[in-house]
Amino acid sequence: MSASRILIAIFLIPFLAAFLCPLAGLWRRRFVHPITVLGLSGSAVCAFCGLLKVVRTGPVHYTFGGWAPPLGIEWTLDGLSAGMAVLISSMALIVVAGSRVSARAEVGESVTAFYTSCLLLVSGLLGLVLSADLFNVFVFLEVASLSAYALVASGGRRARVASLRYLILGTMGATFYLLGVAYVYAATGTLNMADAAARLDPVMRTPTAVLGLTFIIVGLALKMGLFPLHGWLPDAYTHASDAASALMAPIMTKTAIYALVRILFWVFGTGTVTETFPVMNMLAWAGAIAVVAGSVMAFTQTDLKRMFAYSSIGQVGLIVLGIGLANKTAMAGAFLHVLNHALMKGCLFLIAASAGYAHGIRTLDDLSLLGKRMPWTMGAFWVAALSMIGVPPTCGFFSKWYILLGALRAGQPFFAFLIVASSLLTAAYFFRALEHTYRQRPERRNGGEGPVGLVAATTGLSLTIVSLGVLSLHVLRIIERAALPPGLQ
Amino acid sequence: MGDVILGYANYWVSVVLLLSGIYVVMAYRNFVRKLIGMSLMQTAVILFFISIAVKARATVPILEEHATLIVPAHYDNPLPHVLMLTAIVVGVSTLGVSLALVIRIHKDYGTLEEDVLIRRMRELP
Repeated sequence: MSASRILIAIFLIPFLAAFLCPLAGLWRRRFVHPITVLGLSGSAVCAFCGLLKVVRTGPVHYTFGGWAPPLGIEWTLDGLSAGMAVLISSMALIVVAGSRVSARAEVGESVTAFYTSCLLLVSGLLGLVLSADLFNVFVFLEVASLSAYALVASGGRRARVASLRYLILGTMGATFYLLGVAYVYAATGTLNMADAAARLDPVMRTPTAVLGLTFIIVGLALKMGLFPLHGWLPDAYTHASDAASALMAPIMTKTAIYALVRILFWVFGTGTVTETFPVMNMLAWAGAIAVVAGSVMAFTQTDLKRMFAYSSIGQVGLIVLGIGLANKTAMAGAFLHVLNHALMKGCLFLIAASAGYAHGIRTLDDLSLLGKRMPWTMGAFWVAALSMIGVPPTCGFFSKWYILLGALRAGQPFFAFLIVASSLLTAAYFFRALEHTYRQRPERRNGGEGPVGLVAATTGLSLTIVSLGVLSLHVLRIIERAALPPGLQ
Repeated sequence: MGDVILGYANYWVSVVLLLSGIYVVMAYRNFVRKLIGMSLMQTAVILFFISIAVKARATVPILEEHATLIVPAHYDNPLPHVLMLTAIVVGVSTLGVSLALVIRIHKDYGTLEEDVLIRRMRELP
């Protein structure tokens, strides 16, 4: 298969499966889950092949309908987008394959609609990652978001309110993004990213281009839940069905971060965002505030999933801080943290799903049952929690370490101090959770481990967390070679 | 002065629509009103996008059958129109999903006021 076909197959396989799902669901509902798993694994295999190809021979392009780029829509697979595609499709595959039993228990009859939404979410995110066209990114952002609203709403009565609030804020974010694209289009007359990058340089000092930059940043910050624009996130992740929050939490906010990095560094250009308009400095501050605020708010939670959700807000802040520092070390650390945090959050939300399914564990107090009844899940929880705190040799240590080094390299010791402080806060709330797993409580309940799929998925993810930590130098080398923005110091 | 207001009338309208949309979303507690505000915002951006496409003394971008000499300045820019067709579709589907949610929420809780809803949501078992 030629390289550009692989590129398009990454998106088309889950997208076609999304159409197949409702048809199969009409006939036999039990075929829906296998089709979803097949579609996602096809996509993951193609994404891996694409990544290997890109690392070896450089970026791959695909033009729709044979129209040459500035006129037609172009998709690009380079180091960064290939890495994101691998992350999205394989995380989705692990979560969907692992959470079959818990999803069936939660969504019941509407399993067809649930998996169709899952596939549409994943293909929307993949399209967003692969596209090299500003308007195309808007469309896929909305495809993914609309499926996410449906997935959140699958969690019951509370979730519907959370979903509607998410929908209003998410649509505002997309509208701001579209307005920003309108300004960029007015300034350059093009929507192709590479073409816009070339044309933006002479007009960058006009108010039109600056407004475009501002609106795009605000819109995407809303989508990624960057503090203080995080209002939709905690309720949505807490009340969504367990399988849905495990699917969304690792990959959705990361994809918005990807879009922001792509547009800031590849369209507006490294020089523009670091020197002409130092927006990176502002982003670094926003990220620093988010990492502290998210960790503090996570500390005050008693609900397990809500604690994870607030911790996500903090970690998004950490990634944005690493990107905002805008040097090679911090950027590589931030990209590594995107990968690591996706693994950790996926693992943690799957643990929440498993514990909720097997014993109805919802709060930190209930965690004592985890210690007594679910040894495997408890082991995975320890690994993921230690990695969230940043204990070597888990992967969470290395990405935080590189962001910290980058902060020192940028001559910003205060940010380095904040990263350490947030790690301590993370340690505080995760040790509180870990302590609960050892607390003795008199109650006797039957049952043991969660469903086999969930145990396999959480154990597998926790092993990946450790082995990625051991291999993190290799991953960093690939990131530094193939994924960093051009022109970075 | 008259030029600044009349010459840019469509831009002014889109600014007013956008700001009133944001105001309605933030100031009202009723979810249906919030959705109206949300739609206003989307409409404002669509109007803005279409406005960039307009050229003075130009016509619809449809080629006549035997046109030999094509002057781009004689036609409006078709691309923003096409893009906004897509954006309208996106807006309609968002509105559809949100109205479906509103119906379910009204069935579940009997109200659409945000503060009441959040209170009842917390009280649920």
